[in-house]
Amino acid sequence: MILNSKAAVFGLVLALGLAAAPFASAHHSFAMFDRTKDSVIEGTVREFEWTSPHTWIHLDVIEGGKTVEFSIEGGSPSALERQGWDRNSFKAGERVKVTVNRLRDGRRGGAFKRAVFADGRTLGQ
Amino acid sequence: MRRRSEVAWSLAAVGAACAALLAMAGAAWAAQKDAARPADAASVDLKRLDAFYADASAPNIAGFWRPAPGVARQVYTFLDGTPLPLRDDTGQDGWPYRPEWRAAYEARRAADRAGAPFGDPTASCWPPGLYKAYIAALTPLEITQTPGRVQMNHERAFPVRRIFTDGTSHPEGEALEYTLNGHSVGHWDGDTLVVDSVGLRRETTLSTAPGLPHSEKLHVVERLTRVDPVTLLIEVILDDPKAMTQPVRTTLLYKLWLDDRMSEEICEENNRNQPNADLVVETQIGTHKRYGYDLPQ
Repeated sequence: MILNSKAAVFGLVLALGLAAAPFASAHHSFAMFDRTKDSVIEGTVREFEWTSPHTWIHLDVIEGGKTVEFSIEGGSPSALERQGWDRNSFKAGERVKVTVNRLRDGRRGGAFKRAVFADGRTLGQ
Repeated sequence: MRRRSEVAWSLAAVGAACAALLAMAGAAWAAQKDAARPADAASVDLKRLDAFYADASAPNIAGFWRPAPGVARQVYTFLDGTPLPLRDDTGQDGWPYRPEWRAAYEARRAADRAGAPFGDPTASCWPPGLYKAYIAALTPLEITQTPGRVQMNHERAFPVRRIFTDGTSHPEGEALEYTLNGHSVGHWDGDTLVVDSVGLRRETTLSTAPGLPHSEKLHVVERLTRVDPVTLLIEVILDDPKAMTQPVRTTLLYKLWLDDRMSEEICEENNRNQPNADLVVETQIGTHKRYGYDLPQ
């Protein structure tokens, strides 16, 4: 059988690897987020929820002189821990800039893309 | 007199028919009861017991497997190897759906694009089911083999999927229960485990959002081969004669990880996609038709 040959397997890996990567989620549709536009949200970590099915970073953000909460949905702990995250990846009081795809309906929330901390440390997913 | 004997005869006939029916029902009930009884040392069918343990020498595909690096999107072909046409940017609607099933998919896609997706049960923490468990989030797959069974445990999917390798056949008719993992039977064809599955509930999908639909007639054939000690190749054929005009084939590639392990993940822990959620994500369930109920009968 052709699939049993190593060359075929290599070809297959190549073919699959070249295919475009979607934003795969086991859990829900990402239609609620504007995935065509990145926005950078700068704020202070209020709370980090290391929970399933999604992690949540809640930031205090200054908007028009007032402090408002901005909530950012991340991947699941099981996926993120394989990329070096843990329950202390975001600590309350830390300053951080987070790149997100914002909610399309204008509410203060978005899907996590990457974070840059004050000391230059970065986190992706 | 004659009339009376006719009546008596009729009564006797009715009585006999009832007795026969009762006997048949009784026999069926007894058979069912037998099937549910523990094996008895004196009367156990030793041939069947042998079959149950026969796969102790079967090729070993057990291990902690993760999708091969770089594998991000499935490539689908028809059985002759021709790739499915990619008709839209999601690459999903090139599937060979019958018109009314395509319309159901288009409705899902339109709702998704409008930012108000229909209620995919996975959003309220249902398991993804047999096929979506492979592809949804490219999660690890732990395979264990025990006599008469091969178990598949996808991280974030439950319950554990059991493939019967003891010669069991699919239940037929009313006896076939429809479940998210379906009913799977397997046999070894050389080094390859060939798995045949039916009895799949129509609430599950064959892709991530917006979710390619399938009917309850979906028939899945998987061929699992350990092509080298650290590589598992899984060929999957999705055949749904009710929803599609022809079968679709794809291949999954997994690598062995010796130092990784399953995480416990409880989707209900903090799911904000439930009805009446008051946080930042929208409500996906409740105002829209739930998946499965939006499909042709």
